[in-house]
Amino acid sequence: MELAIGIILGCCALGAGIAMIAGIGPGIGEGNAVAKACEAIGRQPESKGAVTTTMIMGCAIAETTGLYALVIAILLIFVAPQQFVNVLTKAMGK
Amino acid sequence: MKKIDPVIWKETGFIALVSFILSVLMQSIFLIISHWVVGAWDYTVILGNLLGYLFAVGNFFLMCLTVQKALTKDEKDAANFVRLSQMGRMLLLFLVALAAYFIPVFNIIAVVIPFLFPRIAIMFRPLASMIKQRRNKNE
Repeated sequence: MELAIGIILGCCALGAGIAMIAGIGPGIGEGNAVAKACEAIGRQPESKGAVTTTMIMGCAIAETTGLYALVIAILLIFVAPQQFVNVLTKAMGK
Repeated sequence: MKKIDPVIWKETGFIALVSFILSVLMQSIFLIISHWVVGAWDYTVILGNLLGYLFAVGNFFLMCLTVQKALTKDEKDAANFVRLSQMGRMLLLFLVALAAYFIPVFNIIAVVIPFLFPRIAIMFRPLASMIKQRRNKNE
Protein backbone atom coordinates (compact mmCIF):
# COMPACT_ATOMS: atom_id res chain seq x y z
CA MET A 1 0.00 0.00 0.00
CA GLU A 2 2.76 2.46 1.01
CA LEU A 3 4.71 1.56 -2.11
CA ALA A 4 1.66 2.22 -4.30
CA ILE A 5 1.06 5.59 -2.60
CA GLY A 6 4.73 6.44 -3.03
CA ILE A 7 4.57 5.60 -6.74
CA ILE A 8 1.41 7.74 -7.12
CA LEU A 9 3.03 10.74 -5.39
CA GLY A 10 6.25 10.31 -7.36
CA CYS A 11 4.42 10.09 -10.69
CA CYS A 12 2.29 13.16 -9.86
CA ALA A 13 5.40 15.16 -8.97
CA LEU A 14 7.15 13.94 -12.12
CA GLY A 15 4.11 14.86 -14.23
CA ALA A 16 3.98 18.33 -12.68
CA GLY A 17 7.67 18.83 -13.41
CA ILE A 18 7.25 17.74 -17.03
CA ALA A 19 4.20 20.00 -17.41
CA MET A 20 6.21 22.98 -16.23
CA ILE A 21 8.66 22.54 -19.12
CA ALA A 22 5.93 24.30 -21.12
CA GLY A 23 6.40 27.30 -18.83
CA ILE A 24 9.79 28.06 -20.41
CA GLY A 25 8.45 28.64 -23.93
CA PRO A 26 6.14 31.63 -23.32
CA GLY A 27 8.90 33.60 -21.60
CA ILE A 28 11.26 33.14 -24.56
CA GLY A 29 8.46 33.82 -27.07
CA GLU A 30 7.24 36.97 -25.31
CA GLY A 31 10.80 38.21 -24.99
CA ASN A 32 11.43 37.80 -28.73
CA ALA A 33 8.09 39.40 -29.64
CA VAL A 34 8.75 42.45 -27.45
CA ALA A 35 12.27 42.77 -28.83
CA LYS A 36 10.87 42.88 -32.37
CA ALA A 37 8.20 45.37 -31.27
CA CYS A 38 10.94 47.64 -29.88
CA GLU A 39 12.70 47.37 -33.24
CA ALA A 40 9.44 48.27 -35.06
CA ILE A 41 8.80 51.28 -32.81
CA GLY A 42 12.40 52.38 -33.33
CA ARG A 43 11.78 52.36 -37.09
CA GLN A 44 8.30 53.92 -36.97
CA PRO A 45 7.73 55.80 -33.69
CA GLU A 46 4.25 56.97 -34.80
CA SER A 47 2.99 53.35 -34.70
CA LYS A 48 3.64 53.00 -30.95
CA GLY A 49 -0.06 52.95 -29.93
CA ALA A 50 -1.04 50.22 -32.37
CA VAL A 51 2.06 48.16 -31.54
CA THR A 52 1.37 48.43 -27.78
CA THR A 53 -2.22 47.15 -28.12
CA THR A 54 -1.17 44.29 -30.40
CA MET A 55 1.73 43.41 -28.09
CA ILE A 56 -0.50 43.27 -25.00
CA MET A 57 -2.93 40.89 -26.70
CA GLY A 58 -0.11 38.84 -28.22
CA CYS A 59 1.71 38.51 -24.90
CA ALA A 60 -1.50 37.54 -23.11
CA ILE A 61 -2.14 34.79 -25.66
CA ALA A 62 1.47 33.59 -25.54
CA GLU A 63 1.36 33.47 -21.77
CA THR A 64 -1.70 31.26 -21.73
CA THR A 65 0.38 28.23 -22.68
CA GLY A 66 2.44 28.75 -19.57
CA LEU A 67 -0.70 29.22 -17.49
CA TYR A 68 -2.19 25.97 -18.82
CA ALA A 69 1.00 24.20 -17.76
CA LEU A 70 0.93 25.91 -14.37
CA VAL A 71 -2.71 24.94 -13.77
CA ILE A 72 -2.02 21.32 -14.74
CA ALA A 73 1.05 21.25 -12.47
CA ILE A 74 -0.91 22.72 -9.55
CA LEU A 75 -3.72 20.20 -10.00
CA LEU A 76 -1.20 17.35 -10.26
CA ILE A 77 0.58 18.44 -7.09
CA PHE A 78 -2.34 19.46 -4.88
CA VAL A 79 -5.50 17.76 -6.13
CA ALA A 80 -4.62 14.57 -8.05
CA PRO A 81 -2.63 12.67 -5.35
CA GLN A 82 -5.55 12.74 -2.89
CA GLN A 83 -7.98 11.59 -5.59
CA PHE A 84 -5.70 8.75 -6.70
CA VAL A 85 -5.06 7.64 -3.11
CA ASN A 86 -8.83 7.62 -2.47
CA VAL A 87 -9.36 5.44 -5.54
CA LEU A 88 -6.56 3.13 -4.44
CA THR A 89 -7.89 2.88 -0.89
CA LYS A 90 -11.37 2.05 -2.20
CA ALA A 91 -9.95 -0.61 -4.54
CA MET A 92 -7.88 -2.16 -1.73
CA GLY A 93 -10.90 -2.10 0.58
CA LYS A 94 -12.83 -4.22 -1.88
CA MET B 1 6.22 56.54 -11.60
CA LYS B 2 5.54 56.73 -15.32
CA LYS B 3 1.97 57.42 -16.44
CA ILE B 4 -0.01 54.30 -17.32
CA ASP B 5 -1.15 54.11 -20.95
CA PRO B 6 -4.98 54.49 -21.35
CA VAL B 7 -4.92 51.39 -23.59
CA ILE B 8 -3.83 49.36 -20.56
CA TRP B 9 -6.78 50.57 -18.46
CA LYS B 10 -9.16 49.87 -21.33
CA GLU B 11 -7.90 46.34 -21.98
CA THR B 12 -7.68 45.49 -18.26
CA GLY B 13 -11.24 46.76 -17.81
CA PHE B 14 -12.46 44.53 -20.63
CA ILE B 15 -10.61 41.50 -19.23
CA ALA B 16 -11.97 42.22 -15.73
CA LEU B 17 -15.54 42.49 -17.03
CA VAL B 18 -15.47 39.28 -19.07
CA SER B 19 -13.65 37.43 -16.26
CA PHE B 20 -16.34 38.59 -13.83
CA ILE B 21 -19.08 37.21 -16.10
CA LEU B 22 -17.16 33.92 -16.41
CA SER B 23 -16.75 33.82 -12.61
CA VAL B 24 -20.51 34.12 -12.17
CA LEU B 25 -20.91 31.32 -14.71
CA MET B 26 -18.41 29.18 -12.81
CA GLN B 27 -20.26 29.77 -9.53
CA SER B 28 -23.50 28.69 -11.12
CA ILE B 29 -21.87 25.52 -12.45
CA PHE B 30 -20.55 24.73 -8.95
CA LEU B 31 -24.05 25.40 -7.61
CA ILE B 32 -25.61 23.01 -10.13
CA ILE B 33 -23.02 20.32 -9.34
CA SER B 34 -23.79 20.69 -5.63
CA HIS B 35 -27.24 19.16 -6.27
CA TRP B 36 -25.50 15.82 -6.91
CA VAL B 37 -22.25 16.17 -4.96
CA VAL B 38 -22.78 17.33 -1.37
CA GLY B 39 -20.46 20.19 -0.39
CA ALA B 40 -19.46 21.06 -3.96
CA TRP B 41 -20.53 24.69 -3.44
CA ASP B 42 -19.92 26.60 -0.22
CA TYR B 43 -18.20 29.80 0.94
CA THR B 44 -14.75 28.37 0.07
CA VAL B 45 -15.71 28.36 -3.62
CA ILE B 46 -16.75 32.04 -3.48
CA LEU B 47 -13.59 33.09 -1.63
CA GLY B 48 -11.41 30.96 -3.91
CA ASN B 49 -13.06 32.41 -6.99
CA LEU B 50 -12.51 35.94 -5.65
CA LEU B 51 -8.82 35.26 -4.98
CA GLY B 52 -8.28 33.61 -8.36
CA TYR B 53 -10.15 36.40 -10.18
CA LEU B 54 -8.14 39.16 -8.48
CA PHE B 55 -4.83 37.50 -9.27
CA ALA B 56 -5.81 36.62 -12.86
CA VAL B 57 -6.76 40.25 -13.61
CA GLY B 58 -3.77 41.48 -11.59
CA ASN B 59 -1.47 39.21 -13.58
CA PHE B 60 -2.83 40.63 -16.85
CA PHE B 61 -2.40 44.20 -15.56
CA LEU B 62 1.20 43.50 -14.50
CA MET B 63 1.86 41.98 -17.92
CA CYS B 64 0.53 45.15 -19.59
CA LEU B 65 2.79 47.29 -17.40
CA THR B 66 5.73 45.06 -18.31
CA VAL B 67 5.01 45.47 -22.03
CA GLN B 68 4.66 49.26 -21.64
CA LYS B 69 7.97 49.51 -19.79
CA ALA B 70 9.74 47.05 -22.12
CA LEU B 71 8.81 49.08 -25.20
CA THR B 72 10.89 51.99 -23.89
CA LYS B 73 14.03 49.84 -23.57
CA ASP B 74 16.42 48.64 -26.25
CA GLU B 75 15.83 45.26 -27.90
CA LYS B 76 18.02 43.00 -25.76
CA ASP B 77 17.06 44.61 -22.45
CA ALA B 78 13.37 44.45 -23.39
CA ALA B 79 13.53 40.71 -24.14
CA ASN B 80 15.32 39.95 -20.85
CA PHE B 81 12.97 42.20 -18.91
CA VAL B 82 9.88 40.45 -20.29
CA ARG B 83 11.34 36.98 -19.63
CA LEU B 84 12.15 37.91 -16.04
CA SER B 85 8.71 39.44 -15.52
CA GLN B 86 6.97 36.37 -16.95
CA MET B 87 8.92 34.09 -14.62
CA GLY B 88 8.12 36.30 -11.62
CA ARG B 89 4.42 36.43 -12.42
CA MET B 90 4.28 32.67 -12.91
CA LEU B 91 5.95 32.22 -9.51
CA LEU B 92 3.43 34.63 -7.97
CA LEU B 93 0.53 32.59 -9.34
CA PHE B 94 2.11 29.40 -8.02
CA LEU B 95 2.49 31.00 -4.57
CA VAL B 96 -1.18 32.05 -4.67
CA ALA B 97 -2.19 28.46 -5.46
CA LEU B 98 0.12 27.23 -2.67
CA ALA B 99 -1.50 29.64 -0.21
CA ALA B 100 -4.95 28.58 -1.38
CA TYR B 101 -4.05 24.94 -0.74
CA PHE B 102 -2.75 25.52 2.78
CA ILE B 103 -5.38 28.09 3.89
CA PRO B 104 -8.59 26.08 4.33
CA VAL B 105 -10.98 28.94 3.50
CA PHE B 106 -10.15 28.68 -0.23
CA ASN B 107 -11.22 25.96 -2.66
CA ILE B 108 -8.08 25.23 -4.74
CA ILE B 109 -10.02 24.40 -7.92
CA ALA B 110 -12.03 27.64 -7.66
CA VAL B 111 -8.72 29.52 -7.30
CA VAL B 112 -7.00 27.87 -10.26
CA ILE B 113 -9.79 27.98 -12.87
CA PRO B 114 -10.04 31.84 -13.01
CA PHE B 115 -6.36 31.98 -14.05
CA LEU B 116 -7.57 30.86 -17.50
CA PHE B 117 -10.35 33.46 -17.80
CA PRO B 118 -8.25 36.25 -19.39
CA ARG B 119 -7.49 33.91 -22.33
CA ILE B 120 -11.20 33.28 -22.85
CA ALA B 121 -11.82 37.03 -22.57
CA ILE B 122 -9.25 37.65 -25.33
CA MET B 123 -11.08 35.10 -27.48
CA PHE B 124 -14.18 37.33 -27.20
CA ARG B 125 -12.19 40.50 -28.05
CA PRO B 126 -12.73 40.36 -31.86
CA LEU B 127 -16.44 39.75 -31.24
CA ALA B 128 -16.68 42.83 -29.01
CA SER B 129 -14.80 44.93 -31.59
CA MET B 130 -17.12 43.68 -34.34
CA ILE B 131 -20.24 44.64 -32.34
CA LYS B 132 -18.75 48.07 -31.63
CA GLN B 133 -17.94 48.61 -35.33
CA ARG B 134 -21.48 47.62 -36.37
CA ARG B 135 -22.93 49.99 -33.78
CA ASN B 136 -20.74 52.83 -35.10
CA LYS B 137 -21.83 52.04 -38.69
CA ASN B 138 -25.51 52.13 -37.75
CA GLU B 139 -25.05 55.51 -36.07
